[in-house]
Amino acid sequence: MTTTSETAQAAPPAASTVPPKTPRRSVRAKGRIDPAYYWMVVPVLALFAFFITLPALVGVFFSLTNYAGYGDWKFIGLSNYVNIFKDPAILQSYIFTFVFALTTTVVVNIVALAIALGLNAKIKWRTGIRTVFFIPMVLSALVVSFVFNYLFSNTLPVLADRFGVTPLATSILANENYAWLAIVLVTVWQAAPGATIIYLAGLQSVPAEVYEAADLDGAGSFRQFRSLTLPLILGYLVINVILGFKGFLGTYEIIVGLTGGGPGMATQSVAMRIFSGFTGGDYSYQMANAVIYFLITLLISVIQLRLIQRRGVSL
Amino acid sequence: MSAIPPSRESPLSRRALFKAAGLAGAAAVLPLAGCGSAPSSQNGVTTLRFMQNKPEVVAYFNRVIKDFEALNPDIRVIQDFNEGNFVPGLVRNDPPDVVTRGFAQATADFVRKGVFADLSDHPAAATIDPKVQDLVSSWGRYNGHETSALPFSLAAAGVIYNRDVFEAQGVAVPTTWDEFVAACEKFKAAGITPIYGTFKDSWTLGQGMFDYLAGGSLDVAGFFAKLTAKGAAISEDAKESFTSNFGPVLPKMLELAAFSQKGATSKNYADGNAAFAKGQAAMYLQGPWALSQLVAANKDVRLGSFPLPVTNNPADTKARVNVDMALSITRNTPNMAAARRFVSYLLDPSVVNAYNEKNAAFSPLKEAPAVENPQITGLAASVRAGRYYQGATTYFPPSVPLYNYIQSFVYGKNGEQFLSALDDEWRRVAERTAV
Amino acid sequence: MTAFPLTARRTPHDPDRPALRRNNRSGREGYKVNWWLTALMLVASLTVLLPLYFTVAMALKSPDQIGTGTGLAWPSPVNWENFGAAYVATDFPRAFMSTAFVTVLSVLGSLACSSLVAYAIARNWNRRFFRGSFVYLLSAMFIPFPVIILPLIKQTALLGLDNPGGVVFLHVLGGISFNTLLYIAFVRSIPVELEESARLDGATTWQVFRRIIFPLLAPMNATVGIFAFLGSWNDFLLPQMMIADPALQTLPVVQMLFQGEFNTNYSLAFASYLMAMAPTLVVYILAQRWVLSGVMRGAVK
Repeated sequence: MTTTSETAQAAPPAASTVPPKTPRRSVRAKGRIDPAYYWMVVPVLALFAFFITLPALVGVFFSLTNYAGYGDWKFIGLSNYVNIFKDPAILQSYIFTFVFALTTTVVVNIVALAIALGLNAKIKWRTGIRTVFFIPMVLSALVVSFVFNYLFSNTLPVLADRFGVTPLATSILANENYAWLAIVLVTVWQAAPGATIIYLAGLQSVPAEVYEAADLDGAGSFRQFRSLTLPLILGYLVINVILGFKGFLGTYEIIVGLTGGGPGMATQSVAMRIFSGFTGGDYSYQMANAVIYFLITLLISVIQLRLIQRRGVSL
Repeated sequence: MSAIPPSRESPLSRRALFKAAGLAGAAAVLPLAGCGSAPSSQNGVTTLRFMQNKPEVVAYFNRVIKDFEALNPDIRVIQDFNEGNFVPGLVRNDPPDVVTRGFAQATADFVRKGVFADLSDHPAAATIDPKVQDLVSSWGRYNGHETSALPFSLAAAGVIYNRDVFEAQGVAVPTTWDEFVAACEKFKAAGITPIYGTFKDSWTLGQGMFDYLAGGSLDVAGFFAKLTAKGAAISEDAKESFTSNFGPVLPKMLELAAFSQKGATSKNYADGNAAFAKGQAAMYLQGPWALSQLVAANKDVRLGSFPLPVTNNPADTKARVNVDMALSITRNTPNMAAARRFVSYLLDPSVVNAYNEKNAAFSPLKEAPAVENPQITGLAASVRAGRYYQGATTYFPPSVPLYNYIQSFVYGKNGEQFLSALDDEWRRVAERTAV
Repeated sequence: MTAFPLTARRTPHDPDRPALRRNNRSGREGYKVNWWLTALMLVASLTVLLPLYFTVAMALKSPDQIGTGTGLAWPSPVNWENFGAAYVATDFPRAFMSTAFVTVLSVLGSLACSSLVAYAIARNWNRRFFRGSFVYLLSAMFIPFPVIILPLIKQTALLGLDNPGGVVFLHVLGGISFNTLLYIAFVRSIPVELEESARLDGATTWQVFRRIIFPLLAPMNATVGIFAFLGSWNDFLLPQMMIADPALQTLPVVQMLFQGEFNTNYSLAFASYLMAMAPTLVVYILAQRWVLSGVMRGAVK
């Protein structure tokens, strides 16, 4: 098997959804297993069950009570869930969160793919430029959004005033219709590098020979991108979309740092509402919200996976 | 005992850290090594945790604590300003021993759940002005009679004004709404921003124009008492609703908002302090906590305060007050004796009066010295006479994003929608807390 | 769920196989620099550099210098006092040590636990127990943090883990799904033959792991390590709620002193932002070449 065909085959990681059944050899004849393997997994599983699963179950239980986070409580059945569905503020936060997550996913992927293509092309000082582009990934989201908050509220309006661009002379964060775009922008700034890495990994697995052959055929850059690059990295795109969308649904820190959910009620995300339960004595109610949110994200991810599985081979 | 004994020798050394890690590891292996409430004392020294949530006075309290420790070598106090750790502290049955919070609905919830110990027999309780103590009691008492918090600082808020700007324009402190509006018009005509607006920080709209106008127009405490009594059975057209009572407040809010500078929506509290200190406006709707920040930004600024007149009858004019700090001891603290001694020290006239003088607030003591700080003397008469109210915003449970609603109203000017949203939110919270 | 796409790699892939030609189109031969694109990328990189420059410039200003301008001008004279003030107010050395303690142990714990689990699972994929364990661990990726936090605080307090040690446990366990995911794909690409010869020489499974597998995982270790480092160093919520003793609190939490809505001193705030960013920036810049190559190779295989 030549290296070329092997890499080409390996390129779209999501292409085959059935994990390889590595042939089992003498060491692990069926039915016999080195107990060491269990020792590697079981203690971690036990800790995981204790520190993650158990509290999660207790948390879900509290969503069925009127617990305030402290003090006494009683079991109230599904009341909290019923109330959640009647709460227009909660519904609005779900709508905002979904629109935001969808938009951000699209923009992040366009930007990340563009950066990845740029970094993968024949440019000078590639390492230096790459280093710079990945910096946002390492910074704390909260701190980043505080910095951008100042830029949006003070620096940009002053600049806009100076150059006579009146629409920008008031902060975008103060505008109920456009404040969410600022949140998208900062989220893209922070999240694009992560997606870029994944695209770069994908682009680097496209063998150079493929492009050389295309060059000989006289294919232009755009055609090369559309008919060669894009199909080969489609699997990476899928990963970025799934991981990104799920992550953006949980956006919290950037909104806290930029708008605090405002102006007005314009940028209240689901996560913000859920966190309000810790300060507001509204703990169990927001736990019910969190459980609903959990089920929705899980459902979306499973649907995405199923869709991919169905179309798996054609990817 | 907590897994990490408070190490007295030094601020966390590396050795202490490793020791901590070792203990943590051991605790994970040994079943249930921890137990909630053993006194945290070591070598006869008791360590208290004191939670204090005002970032601007952290340094001040560190000095107070140092003085206290010098007089009480058997007690060590750690100040904790991480307020987000309070509920977790209750959950782990290891809350801070002494707590001070601004007294509002959220604190009242803790009182109603019996989080704090009864301090009615504390010697300092008798020294507190009953009027001020009533502000705390008005939120309800645990078991109907307990004293869960002793006021430490009473903040009176109104309109902060720049004396130089007022004098230059020949404007006197207004005592009626019409005079106030006339003053604003006069500043405006002279090209001076009448009121510096910091709309981006929605809380400033809440504590400022919303609370001032509501407090001046209606009996806030009475309104919320009736509303609370009504429980979940509140409808928009009920006579206890926001829609039926807050209508007259809203046009005045918009009127005040219109007197703010262009671009107020982009400015936050920090911007406002910097700009107002530099004389960029005549008035500023802020409480005394802003005064020290204003002076820090410009030490020459000459400031005064007056309660916002909301009607044309000067006798109606009241100041917004809040018990900005109230001392509580958590009920289950294992260090009760030490905690009470610390509270005694804090409420000693020399300590509590010094704090309030320094921070432009009013001492809660019966025998408080007269306020001489010219920045707040304009509010002193109202406070002395008890012509004050606690802000309407403080009565809301924190789970209602009230400030966001207020900001929405100021931007969108849709009063009906605003008030019905408040009615709706209030009813929903009442419904779910009723079950 | 057994067919999570990130794990699906059809072909074993030896990271060290030299013959594998990556599409490194800047390879020595036939290198023709695209200057237009280079210029474009340089301009684009300003979107990253400008906010950073701005943060530094703001941190070096006195409150007077901030004034009402854009904040973009370089301060003159440079004012270093903000760092001193932030350093004192946050008790920086102590908070730094606490954060470093949490971060270092979280990174080591993540490397050890995730690689072991991934190895065992990848090599026993045909057994239901291991496949099931994998799916079970993946659940951590979906459970919202708020659901577990209060019960978790109760449990950790009962165990005496309401301190940085407990935060370490949670950082390791919280990251285990994603890290295991990354490792499993990589382990699969290591040919079983490599292990078998060692086993014939009498090595135990543990020895095989330590001597053969773990070193081969190096690129992935770098990836997992850096993500664990960043996640742990920058974490605010968990330490804020879980660490009982304020004297053991981590940097992101104590720095909130300057970062809340009532803060009014921008220069102090920016100094503290910069002090929060600096350690991750330094680690990233020192390790980036090494880390990124690992990330690229290992990313989502």
